[in-house]
Amino acid sequence: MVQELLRQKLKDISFSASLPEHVLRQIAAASKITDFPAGAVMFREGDENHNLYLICSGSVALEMSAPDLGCVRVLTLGAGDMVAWSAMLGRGEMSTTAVIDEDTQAISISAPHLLEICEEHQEVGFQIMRRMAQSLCRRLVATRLQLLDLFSDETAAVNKR
Amino acid sequence: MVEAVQISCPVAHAVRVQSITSESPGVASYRLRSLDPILDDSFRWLPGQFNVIDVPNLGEVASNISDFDAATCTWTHTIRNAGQAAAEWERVRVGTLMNLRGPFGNGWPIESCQGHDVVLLAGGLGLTALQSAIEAIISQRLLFGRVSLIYGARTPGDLLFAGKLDRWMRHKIDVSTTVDRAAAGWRGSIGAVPMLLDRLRLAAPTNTAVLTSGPEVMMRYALRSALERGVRSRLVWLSLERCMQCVAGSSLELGR
Repeated sequence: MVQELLRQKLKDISFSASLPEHVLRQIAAASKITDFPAGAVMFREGDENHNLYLICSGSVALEMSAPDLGCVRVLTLGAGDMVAWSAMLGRGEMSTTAVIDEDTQAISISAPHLLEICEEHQEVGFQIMRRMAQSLCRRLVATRLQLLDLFSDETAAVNKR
Repeated sequence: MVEAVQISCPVAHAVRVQSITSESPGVASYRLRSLDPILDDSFRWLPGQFNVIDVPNLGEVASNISDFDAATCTWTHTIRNAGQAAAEWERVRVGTLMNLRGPFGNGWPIESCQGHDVVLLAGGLGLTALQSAIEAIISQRLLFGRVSLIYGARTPGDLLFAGKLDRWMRHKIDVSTTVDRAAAGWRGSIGAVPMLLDRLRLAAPTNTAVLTSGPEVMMRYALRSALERGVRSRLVWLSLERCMQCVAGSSLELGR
């Protein structure tokens, strides 16, 4: 019953919506649904975290500490977004603090378990890593757009006389 | 032999600055009242069209018509008055005389959007180009499906038209705002407009029209996201008024 609910939730999330059924079932087996109340901390910068999260609903803010600036919010994530992707790579040391902005429901996937599945069923692994790459690519483009500071000087074209 | 292209080029009309309202740091709305009695009854415009305003000591500036009050023959233009041209705008006061030509451009295809869900994507001052479209949609709200506005600005202080955003929400426009950077205390969204579009639930992508206005790079990635999600290119529209210098056109249809 729980597995079926997880499979359905995975199907509702853009990250995993188009994955084949057998892949969804495998991921569901390594997952659980976690509810975070507003104000809770999902993980802190520097923590070791071994869960990958897919947000079903709610909002999560990512914060980074910087000298003289303190804790700075750099990004907010919402339904369909992936959080703590670095759990799938290396030691899983978190580069940001994730603070729950609004009550959030997420699918929490054990990264070591998911990596085992990827190793064992390489076609499944390819599908999952491909989704992760697509998601990170979007995140990278969005970060570049923020860095470009597009709205800093939106002066209209002027025809000088 | 190349056939000569006929471009309608309205004559210049004298206007006087009636009021200046600060909208955010470096952005103000200028109400311009016509001094030309002939124009009073003849000015017709479509949401999304723009005027060219001849600003003293600066030159001609293309600016979307935020509003036109036919009763008083008064236009509202929301313009960035900071940056390189700040000194010239500083000299523009209530009572300053200017010349105005317009309207130019094609306008938003409001009728083509009827019967569809509509997603409006605005970045920065791009909202000024879309606000007249939003008002047109609200005036006949039942003719449209779900209408969503995603609006991005540099900082929370740069978000324009806070009062209007609230009013639009009351008229069943789903409004999502986001900023590129925020100081402590901001509890809204931080991130680029395309990320919010990625999260937006599209009930029927092939029946969804997208209208967008803002920095060209933002529009490119937002449209890429929309097309990847199944939105049809013939229902995607963007405003390139910011690039206009020849005043020969404004809104371009992506699919053609």
